[in-house]
Amino acid sequence: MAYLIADHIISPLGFGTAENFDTLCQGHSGLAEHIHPTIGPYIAAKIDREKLQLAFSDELSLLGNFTFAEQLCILSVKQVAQKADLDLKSSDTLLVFSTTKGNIDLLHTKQFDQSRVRLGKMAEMVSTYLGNPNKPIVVSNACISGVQALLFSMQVLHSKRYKRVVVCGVDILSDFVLAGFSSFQALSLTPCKPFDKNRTGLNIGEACVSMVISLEESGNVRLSAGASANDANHLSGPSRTGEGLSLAIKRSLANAGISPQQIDYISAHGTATPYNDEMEALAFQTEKLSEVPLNSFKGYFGHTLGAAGVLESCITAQCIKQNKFIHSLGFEHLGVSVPLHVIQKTTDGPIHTALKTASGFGGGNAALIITKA
Amino acid sequence: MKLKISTYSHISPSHIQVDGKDVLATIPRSSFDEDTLAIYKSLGIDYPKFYKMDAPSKLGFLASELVLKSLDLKQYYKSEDIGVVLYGASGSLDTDQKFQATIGQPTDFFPSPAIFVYTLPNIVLGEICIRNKFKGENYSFAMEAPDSVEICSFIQNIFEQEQVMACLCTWTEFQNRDQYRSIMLVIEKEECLQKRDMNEKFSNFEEETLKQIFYKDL
Repeated sequence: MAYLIADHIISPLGFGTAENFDTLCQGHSGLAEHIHPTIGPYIAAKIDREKLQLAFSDELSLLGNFTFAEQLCILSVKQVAQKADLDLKSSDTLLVFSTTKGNIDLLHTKQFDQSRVRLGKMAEMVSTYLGNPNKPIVVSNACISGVQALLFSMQVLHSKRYKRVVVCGVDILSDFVLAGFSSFQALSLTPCKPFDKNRTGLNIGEACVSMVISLEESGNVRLSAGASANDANHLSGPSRTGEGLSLAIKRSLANAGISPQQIDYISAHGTATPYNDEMEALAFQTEKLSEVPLNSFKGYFGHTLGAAGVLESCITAQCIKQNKFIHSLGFEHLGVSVPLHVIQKTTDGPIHTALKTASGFGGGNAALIITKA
Repeated sequence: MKLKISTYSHISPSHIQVDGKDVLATIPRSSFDEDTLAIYKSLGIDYPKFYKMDAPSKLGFLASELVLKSLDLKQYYKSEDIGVVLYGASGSLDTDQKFQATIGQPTDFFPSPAIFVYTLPNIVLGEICIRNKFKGENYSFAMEAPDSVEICSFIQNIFEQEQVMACLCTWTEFQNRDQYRSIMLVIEKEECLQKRDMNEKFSNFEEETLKQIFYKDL
């Protein structure tokens, strides 16, 4: 168990958690059409580079020696540290990064030293610049990285080695990732439709999100407990039964000491690929969660890979604070084989306890319970 | 809670070892591809998926086979209680470069899904779980060099919080076909080991032991 002290989001929907949440509540999406010279038109949620430059011009002018992903991390961590009144130079503060591909664009641009493609090196560049004396840790476990980085940080706090942890999730839009998912035929040619019967695939997004967590009683949201589990079934295909996700949820509930009936809201992974969403629906049914209001934020942010778990947990915390059930954008008609309560309209309503889930390549699944403090 | 290293393996260009002792000494070391194939064959296993794996996955997979060959963890633990924790610096970089080469030029743009699936550092972990049907906690970390303090503390934590009953912990680092190394440790509680084997002496899972194992031949 740990408290959420402060958070900050840089995404196509805005800079800062409040701007992102307001934009979401108004139903706006960051997804738009872009053109790739070889792949052709594609839909993605891309951070507006010009707006970013305008918003952070003073800071960015000092960061010419840093890659785009590193710049985002530096901006985001500095913002969140300021919000939390956190001393980044303290040995009591640990930086934990969550990313799947980090500086992968360097393989193509060759602008920077290639060693920075190594995720640990990228993390060290950022933490050294910020003056943090501790060795940063990077969680890189495909699409469950973000949720796991939060779980890991809770562990670290309990070991009493650090008083505060900054979790920074980042992934940027790159030709590499775009070409990869395109080769998998996993990209939707239209804005994605999680859990819908006409869903055809995902859209890639980019974001950088930081959260400060601590055991000190503070703020009004806490991360209760969580767990991860592996399907042990297939590298790139989700389990046909949802067994791994189901196990991660079951353990999370047990670790938090609560029953499925106590879950008021589920922030699902919901990538909008045919197999993923079906797998999730089966797992929710197994865990007696079919009737719990659920959404996927992928219709707003696209799939932000290693940042997704941090981004979506951050938004989930806002939903709890503001008692909002957010419309699962893109959803019209149920397209999974079992009942599921997908949120069709943004409404107010009490949320005390929420469940955040994620699943990814490599067979990983992770779940996290977030509650009002 | 007292944790023990029940067994460990080490594969590098100069070593094929289990518990610090050379094994498969008859394999003449030549190249990564020939060596790994020779290790695979010498293990006497029939697992065609091995041939499809990328180099970092082959490395970690073989290191896991070396330790699990004589230790059937599932005989003692439920599959969902066995965790795998992976550490490394380069992750999937070797395969990332291969994939990049397929998309580098607009005139020569043929991304391969079979390569793309391996462009994630955690894939080796997935391969080990699929092979052994390990369904427990799965963590994948990147760090520039093995940090014994961090690794010890985290593993100790997940045991104490009963997230795992037994665990594979590995430093698997594949830079290129000349520089690679996988160290695979099986970690169990002392009490569980004692029930099973009163005679054998196991090393403590602690920072000093880890340092010795990780840095012995560097």
